[in-house]
Amino acid sequence: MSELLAIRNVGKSYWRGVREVSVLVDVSVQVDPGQVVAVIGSRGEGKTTLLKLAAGLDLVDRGEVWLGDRELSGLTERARRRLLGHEIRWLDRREPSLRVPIRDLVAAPLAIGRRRGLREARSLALGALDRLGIGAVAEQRWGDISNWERVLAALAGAIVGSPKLLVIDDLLDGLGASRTEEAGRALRSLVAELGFGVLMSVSDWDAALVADRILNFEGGHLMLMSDQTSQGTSATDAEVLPFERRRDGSRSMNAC
Amino acid sequence: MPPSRSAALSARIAVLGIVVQGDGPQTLGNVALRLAEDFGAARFPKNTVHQNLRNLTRGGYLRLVREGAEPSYSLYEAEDKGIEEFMEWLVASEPDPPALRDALQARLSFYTRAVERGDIAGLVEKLRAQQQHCARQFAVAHGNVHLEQAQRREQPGSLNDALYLIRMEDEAELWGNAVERLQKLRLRLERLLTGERSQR
Repeated sequence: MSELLAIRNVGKSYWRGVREVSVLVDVSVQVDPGQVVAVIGSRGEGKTTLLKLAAGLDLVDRGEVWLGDRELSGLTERARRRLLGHEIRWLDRREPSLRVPIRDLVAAPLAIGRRRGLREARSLALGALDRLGIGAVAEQRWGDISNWERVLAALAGAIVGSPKLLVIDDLLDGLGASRTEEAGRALRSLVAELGFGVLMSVSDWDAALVADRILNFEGGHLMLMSDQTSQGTSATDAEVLPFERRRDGSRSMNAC
Repeated sequence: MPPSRSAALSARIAVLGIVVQGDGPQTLGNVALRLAEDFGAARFPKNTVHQNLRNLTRGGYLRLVREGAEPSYSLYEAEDKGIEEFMEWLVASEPDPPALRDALQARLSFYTRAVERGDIAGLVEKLRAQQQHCARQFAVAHGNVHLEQAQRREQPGSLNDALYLIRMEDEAELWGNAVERLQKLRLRLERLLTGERSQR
């Protein structure tokens, strides 16, 4: 399967006063179409920084970020913005800058710069909200809906835009066991149907379990925790171990 | 304060439960196989099945249905006393809070009284190795969750299958949380060492 997103040996630092702080050190991640890759770590460990680089919202200091055959740092800011609207979709629960009804919020990326009429975009957005069972909140604003409805509204955005890559920042965290499971099921169902790849950051282990591949942050490095994809690719400093059989001959890849 | 009871699974109750739940009389081999399949992560000693079958039979919890040519072919069945004991354990509530008998906590406690810099460095290495072991166990449990979830998407499973998935998810989270704890503890100790060095 061809690579959808390839983050290769990426480094990123920030300046705190006169001190340079390395947030990402030689980090590599790959996401293929139809794969869900989770990056787990505590707050401030660089998860969101990594996601921003993947979405083209920020640029690397070292290394490369490829979306298909395009290297993001080689693109103009305008071209990267266009990618973010069309081929990449960023999902989180933060209050959006657009103060419009949920229906228009979901429709916006489709209507803006895509030559789709607002009416058509709204109709698609309504369909997506209905499909996720929250058609009733279409006319409400972000501040008026529940945390759970925000998660579903964000996922509705993944349906209407037909993106190739979803970049999900802490969307599934802190929902409680049953909601996390429900959101995970909804996400997997969309991935199976629409075939996009997902790179998501999580803080909770139960939220990570929905992923095909799980990577753990430590001191700016990423360690491969588990790889259940067919190719069993490795991360920067992963130690890949033999397959182990469990229950009815099922197998899982042991990795650390 | 009432005597503390560990929340840990004992080999005795695991062996008893396997015989009680077994489809007819069980051989030592049957019990050992299920113990390895269902409670492999508990890493009970190899001779634990033999010992517990013998002790449970002596205690009147099991009976020897037929003596085999070799001990591994002998057949065991649960007595009413054994069934009662197991069912009581199954529905009993866990001690609240459970007794904390954590080896890491104990080591830290001993080190608190008399610690050398080398002790901390050694502990850091032990934690690193433990973290890797736990990460491997996490990968195994995540693999089982992944496979079960994929099968459930294909066709809804039985109640047993659903419970198996819940159990695997719980096990994966246990290992994940263990990795996180070991990682945090190690990083704290590493910072302590670095801080000490910078002060020298």
